[in-house]
Amino acid sequence: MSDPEQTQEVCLVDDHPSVLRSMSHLLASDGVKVRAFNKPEAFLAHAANHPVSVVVTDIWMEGVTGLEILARMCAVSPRPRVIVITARDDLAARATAMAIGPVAFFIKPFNDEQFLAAVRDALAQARSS
Amino acid sequence: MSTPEESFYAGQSRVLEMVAASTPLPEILTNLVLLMEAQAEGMLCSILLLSTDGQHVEHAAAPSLPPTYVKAVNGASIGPRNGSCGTAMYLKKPVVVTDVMTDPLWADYRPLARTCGLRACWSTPILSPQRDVLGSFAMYRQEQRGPNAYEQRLTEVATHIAGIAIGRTRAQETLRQSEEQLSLLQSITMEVATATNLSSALEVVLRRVCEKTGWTFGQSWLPRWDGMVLEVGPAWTGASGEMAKFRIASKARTLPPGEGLPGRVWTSKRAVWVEDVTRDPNFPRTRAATEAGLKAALAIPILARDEVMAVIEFFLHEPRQEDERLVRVITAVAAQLSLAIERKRAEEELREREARISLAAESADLAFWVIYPERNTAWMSDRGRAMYGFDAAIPLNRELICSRVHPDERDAVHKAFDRACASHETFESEHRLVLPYGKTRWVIVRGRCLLDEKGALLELIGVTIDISAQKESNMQLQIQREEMAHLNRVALMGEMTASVAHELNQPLTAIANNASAARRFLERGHIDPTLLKQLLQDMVADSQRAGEVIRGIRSLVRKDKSVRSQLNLNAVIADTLRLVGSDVLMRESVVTTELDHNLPPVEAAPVQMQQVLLNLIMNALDAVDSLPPSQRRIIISTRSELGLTAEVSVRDFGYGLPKDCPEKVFDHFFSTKQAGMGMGLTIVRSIIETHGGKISAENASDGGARFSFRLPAARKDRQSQAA
Repeated sequence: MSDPEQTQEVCLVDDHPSVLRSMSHLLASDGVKVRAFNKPEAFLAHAANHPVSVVVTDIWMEGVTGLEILARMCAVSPRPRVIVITARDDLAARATAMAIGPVAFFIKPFNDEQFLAAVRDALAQARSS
Repeated sequence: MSTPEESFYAGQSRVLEMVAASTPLPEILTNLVLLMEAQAEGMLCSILLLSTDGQHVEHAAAPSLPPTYVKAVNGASIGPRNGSCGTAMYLKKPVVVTDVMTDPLWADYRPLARTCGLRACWSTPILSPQRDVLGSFAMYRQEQRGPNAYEQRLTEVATHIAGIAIGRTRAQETLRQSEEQLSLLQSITMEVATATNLSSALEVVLRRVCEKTGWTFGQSWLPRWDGMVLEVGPAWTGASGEMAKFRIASKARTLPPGEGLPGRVWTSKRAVWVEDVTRDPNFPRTRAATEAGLKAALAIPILARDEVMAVIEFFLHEPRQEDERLVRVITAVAAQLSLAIERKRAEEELREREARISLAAESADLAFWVIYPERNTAWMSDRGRAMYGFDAAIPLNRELICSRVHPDERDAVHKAFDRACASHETFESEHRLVLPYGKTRWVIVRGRCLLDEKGALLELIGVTIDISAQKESNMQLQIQREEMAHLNRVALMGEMTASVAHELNQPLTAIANNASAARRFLERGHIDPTLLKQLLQDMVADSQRAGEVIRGIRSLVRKDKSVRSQLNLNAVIADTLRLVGSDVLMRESVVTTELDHNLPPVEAAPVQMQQVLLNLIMNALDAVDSLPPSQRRIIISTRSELGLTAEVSVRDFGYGLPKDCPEKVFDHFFSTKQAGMGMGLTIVRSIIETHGGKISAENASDGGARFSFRLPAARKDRQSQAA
């Protein structure tokens, strides 16, 4: 039980450097192992060669949008758990994201406890699947 | 009883008394002749006068000579072989003909002398004190002989007394004539001065000159409207209608310069005398003149400012040699007329000028004024006095006029006046007037200098325009414009919800995360101080970033944002794109820039420039919204024309502008968008134009719309100051 949990890591994608760093710290303070990407392309390249169980991503980023990442994740097996964070509550984006099926959707700034709980849930789901 | 000697002296005294009493000359001379004849048995005497032309003899006194002889001699020419008298006058010395039947001087008069029984004739010229020939005194004998000593003595006495009598009479005559001329001049001057126009003034002159100097007929010629030829003007034909035909003949023609008598005078601007027009080679009206019996003529120009206003011509029924005196008189009359015309013209011009000025000034609500620096006085139209708050009676000068200028601007106005006076250039000033009771007016003053022919300053003339009403409405407009611009910025902020939220939420999120992480690390009891320090640093940096975002938004939304500074539009574009970055992202659009790095700085209000760019970018984003994501492209480019302008264009690849009239998008309430107010581009244009720039909208050749605006580069001297 402890083994897979220790190897499990969360991929973090956000093109905003200070946000990316703060989220890494937040997850680390909860004992979660983090792999951070400030460019979505870099994450996709990583995902192509490595199994990804949980990904936390922003939707609106330069180059590749979070929605695109979601779409791409659908094709990956096993399918990673996706948590969406966005700075803007955009109805259309939320609808799209929900259709693809993230496990959680957060609007920045978010409640830290709820967010960490969602991450923990996702990790647990990934482990149990 | 007196001796013959005594009675001769008494006779001489009597004649001299007659001279003193201004007895008519013929009577004096007749008495003188009778006195002489009484001194010698069988002696006949005569006195002849030299005519005014100095060429002919005129009968004066010959009471004892046969009338036929007197009549025949009268008017004869003088000359070297013209009898005794004609020759004596001609040679200016006594001529003694002892026998008229043989003497060659009498060749022409021998039959006459024989008929009258005259045989000897001794003639002596009568001379003035200046030794001019006045006439001659002659003694006739019926026998052939020369004068004896007594007779010579008598001749001396006779010529002496005759000289006194003639000289005195001539002097009186001259005096009378000049008095007459004076009165002629005076009467003409009076009448001309009261004449209402040139025609009636000419009529006066023609009539008076004819009446007073004995010319038969006078006629005027005036330059035609085009100045090419002379045309007949008013005439004086006397009481009789005998000149009617000549008038008609004159009216039938026009005279070009140099042609005919008036044409010659027109060209030479001098009086011309013609002894006999019927024998003059340059007189086209010869036939008419012959029919009318006109001979001598005189024509004189009427000049005004050295320009021939008219030519007047006078005619006589007989030939006459030039009479300088008469020419002088009539020239003097003409000069009076010239003066009167010049005065009238000046008055008319002044009246016309003033009328024109007043008319223009009143209709345009202008104040007209003249400052005379030399005299330190000034004049102002009624409207002007009302505008400046001066009573009609107050004498004005420059100081007083300037005292109405607002104290803050008075110095500058004085300087503008001084500069204009020194440089003789025009000047213009916009300033406020403060009236006695505190009312303020905005005026524009425009003036220029009038110089005399030597280039010295005569006067400063100018107009003052009351622009208070425009100023007020301009200010209203300015307020409205600023209000609209502000609303537009607020609306823009609303449209940029994604960006605003994103820009603020990002740092807030980071701060919250970092704070939360730090708390957790602390709760877990083990925290690396380096990590804690980094978390705290990040939190400070992010809160500062959030502050900047808020400041940016506030500055965009705050009112009264028109303070200008030197700006690089490339930097403004970069700032603006940062502001709308999230919207671009969210709309899955791509904005690329093609910036000219040598773009000169412009002088502009930063917020307004950002507002312009935001409007254009938001519009472009709207324009590409309905396209597939791959085509949602916007290009922002800058370029400069020779470093003189900075031009920015925002180009999208959407459906473009209305084909018929792309520029219509700048109009109020024109909108192709459902949600738009239709004010954005109107405000954009007004911002660009108040910055001295231009904005245009067009459809790009390969699709989409392009909005370009161009601003003048900031002045170089200010650029260096700024640097």
